[in-house]
Amino acid sequence: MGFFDREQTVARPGFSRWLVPPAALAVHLSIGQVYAFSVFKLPLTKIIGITKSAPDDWSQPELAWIFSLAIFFLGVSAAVFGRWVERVGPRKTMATAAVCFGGGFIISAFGVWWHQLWLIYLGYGVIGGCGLGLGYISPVSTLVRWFPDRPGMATGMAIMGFGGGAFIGSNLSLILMDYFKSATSTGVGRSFIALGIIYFCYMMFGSLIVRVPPENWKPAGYQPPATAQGLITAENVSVDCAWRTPQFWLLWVVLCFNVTAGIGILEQASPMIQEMFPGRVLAAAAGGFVALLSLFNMGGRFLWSSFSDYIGRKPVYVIYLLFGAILYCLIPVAGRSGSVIFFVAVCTVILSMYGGGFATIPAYLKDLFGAMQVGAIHGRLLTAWSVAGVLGPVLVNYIRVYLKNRGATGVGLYAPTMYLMAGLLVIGLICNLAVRPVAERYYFRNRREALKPGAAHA
Amino acid sequence: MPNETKSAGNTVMLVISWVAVGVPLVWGVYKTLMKLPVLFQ
Repeated sequence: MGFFDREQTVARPGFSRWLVPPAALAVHLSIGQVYAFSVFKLPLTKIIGITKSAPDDWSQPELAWIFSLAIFFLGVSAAVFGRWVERVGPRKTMATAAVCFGGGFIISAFGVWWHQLWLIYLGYGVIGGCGLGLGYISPVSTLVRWFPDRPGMATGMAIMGFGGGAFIGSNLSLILMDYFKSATSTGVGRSFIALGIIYFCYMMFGSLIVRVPPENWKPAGYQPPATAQGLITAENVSVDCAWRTPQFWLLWVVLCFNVTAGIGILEQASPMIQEMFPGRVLAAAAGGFVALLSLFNMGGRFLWSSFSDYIGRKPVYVIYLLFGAILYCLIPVAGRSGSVIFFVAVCTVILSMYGGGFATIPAYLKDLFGAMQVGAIHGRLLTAWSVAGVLGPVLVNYIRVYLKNRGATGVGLYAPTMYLMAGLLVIGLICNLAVRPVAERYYFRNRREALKPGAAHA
Repeated sequence: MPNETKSAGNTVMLVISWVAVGVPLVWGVYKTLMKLPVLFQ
């Protein structure tokens, strides 16, 4: 029996379940660096020219593929390896994620030094992307089992880390590049090496302290429901059955459209506020706006998800989608009113609910399908993120260019897109309202077998 | 039931773990908050 096997990670008496969230956070704070990858974009366009781009240097569109590949492989690996993650447990998964994510940085460093872009695509994009996917879903099942009384809070805390990782990643990367840069180097290659080592060690720390609860463990005073209560099932549904249910696809649409709308704002936040308030909001202030949105994105993940433990998953998604649609319609109103504070307030609430939508989904899945394979089901659902990651920016960018070519300016460049996003959220709202308890025919056949740890491979 | 802190070693691990994840997060958020005042100038 190896150190990384699931059996080695079963908690002994006296273990505090509050040690598990830091393990999850160590992984999510690391992989959240992907949101800060843009800090490398400009330096990567000057690898040869150092102070300015040389003709043979990489272009921004070429470099944009690195991030896109990473997010694509996040979704793919989460969907493909979900069953394996459930079978081998969190420690082996976190360690594998650490090797992939840290190794991706190391391979990319050689890509920088040898000026081979394909090595960065392979390193950070493909291998690092797989590390993102494995790391993202690795703690979900474990947290849900340790906190059956508060699954929203537990998974919200971990997924908050993914948002928070951007703050650490951006500031750490800037410090490292500043330290390693010289007259003959931008410092990106060495920064990649340092980041690879730092993130590998940090994720391995999470892997070492994580534990799974013993069989049939439950928190003191907690009584699991013997029968279904509303949407909360007392049964389990396997991942292969779950994705054949209408509930899975309804939630897929909910997540996809909620993320599409939120990414549309995040991706265009800086130019949008500058174009809506010309002459009043300059580039530096727009940078502060983006940072503020990221803070609300992070905070919303924990607060909204924790709130869902009290009011239920379906009602909280009604708030995200209904209130969100109203707020998207208010963005053009805020722009025309000339009030920067009104505009910022609307956008920050939207971004908090965007984060909340991400963080609440594992608990919603646990309610509907049980805890048995919730990590694998969550992994499959993350394909909605991959689609939204393309759909959101494409919609905002192409509509903006189309409107600009027709002579629109200021608020007019964004108003139709905001109404479109509101429409997407209304579709998501209808899907959410259509969610009903999962039919009995999808339940795992042998409930006692299903409750055994590692039953995912059954 | 392994749901409560019952040993000194466990308490030490709890403190170390939360500090290890809390300090970098607070540092990152603090550095980011420092960029905000310019938005409302």
